Amino acid sequence: MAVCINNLNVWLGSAQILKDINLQFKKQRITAIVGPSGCGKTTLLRSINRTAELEEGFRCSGKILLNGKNIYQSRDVSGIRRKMGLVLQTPVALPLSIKENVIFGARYCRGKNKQELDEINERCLKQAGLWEEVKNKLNKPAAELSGGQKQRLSIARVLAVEPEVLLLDEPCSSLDPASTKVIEELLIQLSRQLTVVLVTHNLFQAQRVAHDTIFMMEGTVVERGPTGVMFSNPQKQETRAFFSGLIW
Amino acid sequence: MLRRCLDLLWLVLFWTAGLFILFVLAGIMGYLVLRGGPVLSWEFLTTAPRGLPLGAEGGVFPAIKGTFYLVLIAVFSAVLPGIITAVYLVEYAAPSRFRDIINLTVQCMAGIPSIVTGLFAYALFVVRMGFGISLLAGGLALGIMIFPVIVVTSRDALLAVNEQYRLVGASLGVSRWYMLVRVIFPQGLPAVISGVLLAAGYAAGATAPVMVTAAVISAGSSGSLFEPVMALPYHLYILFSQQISIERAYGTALLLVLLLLILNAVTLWLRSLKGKGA
Repeated sequence: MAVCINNLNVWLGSAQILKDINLQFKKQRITAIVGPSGCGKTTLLRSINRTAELEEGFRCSGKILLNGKNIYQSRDVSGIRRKMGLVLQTPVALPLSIKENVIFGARYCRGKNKQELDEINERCLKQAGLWEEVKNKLNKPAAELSGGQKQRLSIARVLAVEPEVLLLDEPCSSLDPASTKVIEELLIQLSRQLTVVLVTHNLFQAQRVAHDTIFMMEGTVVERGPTGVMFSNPQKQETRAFFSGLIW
Repeated sequence: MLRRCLDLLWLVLFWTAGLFILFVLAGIMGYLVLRGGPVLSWEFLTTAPRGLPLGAEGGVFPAIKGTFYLVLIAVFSAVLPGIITAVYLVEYAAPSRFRDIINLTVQCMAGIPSIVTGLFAYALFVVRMGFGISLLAGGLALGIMIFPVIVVTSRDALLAVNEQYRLVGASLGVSRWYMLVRVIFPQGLPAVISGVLLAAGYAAGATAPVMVTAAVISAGSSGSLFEPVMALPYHLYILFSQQISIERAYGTALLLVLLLLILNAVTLWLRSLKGKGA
């Protein structure tokens, strides 16, 4: 079990965002988290990546275990954040060149060995399926890329710090169908090496790529199971209502 | 019908207000050019004041030099503390009572009348530390005056940088310093520099702090830190308050306004560069 969440409660100020979450994310599998807006999906991802605590008034109880170790007891917060790679909803290209974007984190934690950084750059761009499109303009500003390319660049940037888990927060919500397809194929490939957690609003996307699906509502996990079973035979009333488009 | 009339009324009101500002500005500039224009000459710019009473003839070269040095010292003394304070407020300080107090203090500092800043600088630098009426004392007085301006403009420049960049940095586990040096500061830099130039313009035009700490009616403005200097706004003040030469006062005023205009034009241009980072 790669990531194991036990009795996680999260508050922001006086509002309780996550209530008694118990989940496991397995290695080499894609887990999709679906649910209505504001149900705590993003907070859950950011709690796993340990960036939720940057918000004002963050408090949490319970445990999040990575390979059996509680990440909230680790002193090396940066190390945890690198192991739990996070891709944001809006594609973000840092105002640097394409190559410097990819090796942004790697340069910080691995040093300045040019040859090594070049290798990381090429490997991660290839993994993110972007190499062929950008190999001749690595030193151009990343702002020139399209939305879908920027999102793959974000993924390459996260891969460059060698995460064990890849957390994606609605990575395709601002992309066109063609770019979405590219990213979905990429996720399936990446899941051969990594634990992938995908928050999505798109139920078809969950059906297409996820091995397991979790349905959340109002800060709690309502139902979870293998994707096929969840969609064909949901057990809970709320899940059925959501899947048939009654709750958004 | 009534709505359309009201709409029209508002439109007329806004246009009038806007045109009024333009009218006032054009009036001031036009009058300065009309009265001061004839005085402006190469000789006026490059010679020292002469005649009796002093200033009735000759130029303002030492005052230009003096103002240049004063602004230079003010900017040098205030830029580093100002920018560091802004970086602390935006990037490092956790939301806390302490941060709120610093923000409030800076805001209040910006509201201190400049003559009070001058009085303070006089007591501290001129008397207590024994600098005397000098370039250094005046430059530092102006430095104190523009410090809050630099903090506020730099703070807003850094705050304006895309918040998502910080989240990307944090989620990659890089330090705040690395993020600041590689991304945040380069992005905010044009706006920071334009804020500094704005503050420099503010210092160049300020009379009160200078007249009690640095400026005299006549001096060579050699650049020596412990000697008094001439300054454009103070020279202007003396020329017309002592009725020495009204045309020369207008000439000096025009020169000062032109210098500030150039400074502000550069500022605007720099601001337009913001966010175009490669």
